[in-house]
Amino acid sequence: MDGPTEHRQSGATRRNVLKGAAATGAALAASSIPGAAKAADNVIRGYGVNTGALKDWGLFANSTGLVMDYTETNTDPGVFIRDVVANEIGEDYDFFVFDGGMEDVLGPQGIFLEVDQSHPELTLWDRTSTDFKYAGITQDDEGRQWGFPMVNNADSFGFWPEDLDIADPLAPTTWEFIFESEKTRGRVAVDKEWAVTMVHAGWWLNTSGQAKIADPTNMAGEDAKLVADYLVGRKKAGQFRTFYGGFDEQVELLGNKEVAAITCWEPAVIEVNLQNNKEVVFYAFAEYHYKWGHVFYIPSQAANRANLADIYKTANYFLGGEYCAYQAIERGYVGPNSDLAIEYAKANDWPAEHIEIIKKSGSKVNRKYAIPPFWGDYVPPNGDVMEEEFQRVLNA
Amino acid sequence: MFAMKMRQDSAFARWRGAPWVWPVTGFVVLWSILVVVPLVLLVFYSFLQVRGFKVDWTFNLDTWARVFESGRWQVTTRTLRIAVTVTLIELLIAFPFSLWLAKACKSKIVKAVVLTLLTIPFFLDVSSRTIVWRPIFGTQGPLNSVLVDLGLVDGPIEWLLFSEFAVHFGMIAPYFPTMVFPVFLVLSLIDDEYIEASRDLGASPLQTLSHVTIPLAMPGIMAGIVFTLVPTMAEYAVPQLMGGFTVNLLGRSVESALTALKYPTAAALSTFIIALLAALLAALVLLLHRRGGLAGVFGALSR
Repeated sequence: MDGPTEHRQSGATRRNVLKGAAATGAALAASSIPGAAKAADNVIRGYGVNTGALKDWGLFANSTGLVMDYTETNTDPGVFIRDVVANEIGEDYDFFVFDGGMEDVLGPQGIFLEVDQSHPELTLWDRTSTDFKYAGITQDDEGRQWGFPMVNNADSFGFWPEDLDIADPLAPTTWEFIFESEKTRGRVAVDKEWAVTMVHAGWWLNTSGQAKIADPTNMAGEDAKLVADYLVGRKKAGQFRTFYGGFDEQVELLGNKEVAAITCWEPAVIEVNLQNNKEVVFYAFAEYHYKWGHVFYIPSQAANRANLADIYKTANYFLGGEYCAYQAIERGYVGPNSDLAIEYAKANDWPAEHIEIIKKSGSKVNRKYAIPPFWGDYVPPNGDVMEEEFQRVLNA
Repeated sequence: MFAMKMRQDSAFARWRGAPWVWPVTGFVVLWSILVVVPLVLLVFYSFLQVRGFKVDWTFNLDTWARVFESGRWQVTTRTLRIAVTVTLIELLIAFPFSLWLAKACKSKIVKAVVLTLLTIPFFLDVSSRTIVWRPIFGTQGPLNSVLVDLGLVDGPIEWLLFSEFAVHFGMIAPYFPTMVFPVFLVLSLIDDEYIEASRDLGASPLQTLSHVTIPLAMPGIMAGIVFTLVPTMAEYAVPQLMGGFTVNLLGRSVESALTALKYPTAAALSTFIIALLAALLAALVLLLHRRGGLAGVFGALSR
């Protein structure tokens, strides 16, 4: 990436023009509305991916004394960048949550605030493992800290063991079931996003010895073409049933047995098993996993905000046991302090099976991370090349 | 010379004083701002480029070159092909249906019920209407199960879902009303005396249909084609739900470009399809020229 560039605090952007007009209108309106309500000053406003949200923000309110106002978005990097850069929503929000990698693009541009690791509200920062604190998804290439880790996981694929003739679904399996196995021919679904499927295929070619892709998460020129050619070949051979578009489709395709295997999020497997009231599908432990993490970013506009301490308090909450415990149960995700999650569950008399799930989530992720990992990156510098090549796959 | 100028001044004064001048002028100005200016900006944007998620404001042809070199332009022709096919299918089904509704159906209650049933789909989001077909057409769905149980097929028919067939099927139902309504309205306006006169002169039903009914219904047919063709080209939900992105159409390709912040690529694809549509509509207008052009077609209805 190039060195830091001055963030254009635009003088005449669409936003500022609209703000001026709105302010005029608001002044006129407020003058005619007696006792107009003053906004609560203990409200913290977040904008981020839906899987970063608690299903019950009342827990957060009870623990911190703050009220959460969280606006959910999906993992589309284009939408996120449009909103935080072009629409400058940092004026209205106190923090962002997105998948790691975004700091490489937006940190040096001055969109995110370089965080203060010694802030007094960060009571859990010192005890947080450096593996999480200083991972490639919270820092840029020059070691500047742009965010705080929230939850992590390592994605692979969900499958019906009987369709794959797998006797022990918890034993290590192989990505061959996704890309080449005759047992799954025509019964595999993969993600429609180039940032996921191209990367999976690149790592498969490396792992299976069919090619040497320098960096599957950021492929340039010939590497991207080679991977796209491979995917075109597999698509024409009838390996893929469909390319899915979102979480609901993951659950539907896997739950209806429309596919035998699907590259999906772990919550999709959890959801299908919940629908069946038993474990019928499993999440693979295989040759490699798509490691990702949600990261808490602070907009640069919040630097001199009155509630900056509350923002750091919120970041500290996401490092804690309560948030990690609920994410483990509801989504199978792991937080940076999973021991605190176990402590929290025990202290609050959670059922033994829930405590067991939290423990298993931690050991599961550690097991996956022990394999030479790669971090996924939704905004790789060669993203435009990868996206272009992936179009050939979709057009094939 | 003086007389010509006097005539011009008089015509200008009449035009300026006409009651429709200001509404028409206002409409043209509004239309220019809301439609023409964005289109011009779209075309302008297609001559820029994105590098590493940042827009390069240098005017160049690289984006257009990559759209054609990478084969991405095929998305637009595929989208146009499917949209035209769906539109033709709709016309083939909707015209006889509209003819029956307008001319053969004498019961006002039946007409009202049918028209209401055609309107109901618009109350629902197209995704909600389409997603119900997925479990039905799936390999584990009831349709395949019945076919297999009856011994009509050896195994599930995979192309019922996530195929071009499925995309066509998924688009036909939502866009049926957009073809029926304009055709029905125009057919209703055709005076029955024309049809009776044609019969009295010895024309067969087919001759009456081809030489009297269809020409007089042309405004409605054209409106139906436009109201069906244009939205189907922008359709996103149905190709996603029924095609599973294995059928890559314009909406998905543009969305994919936007996720990589390749706004110039999205603009180039959109400009290309607008150009194709303009060519198609121009061909339609030329075709009608043989029948006296658009004015002639509408004029025939008003007599």
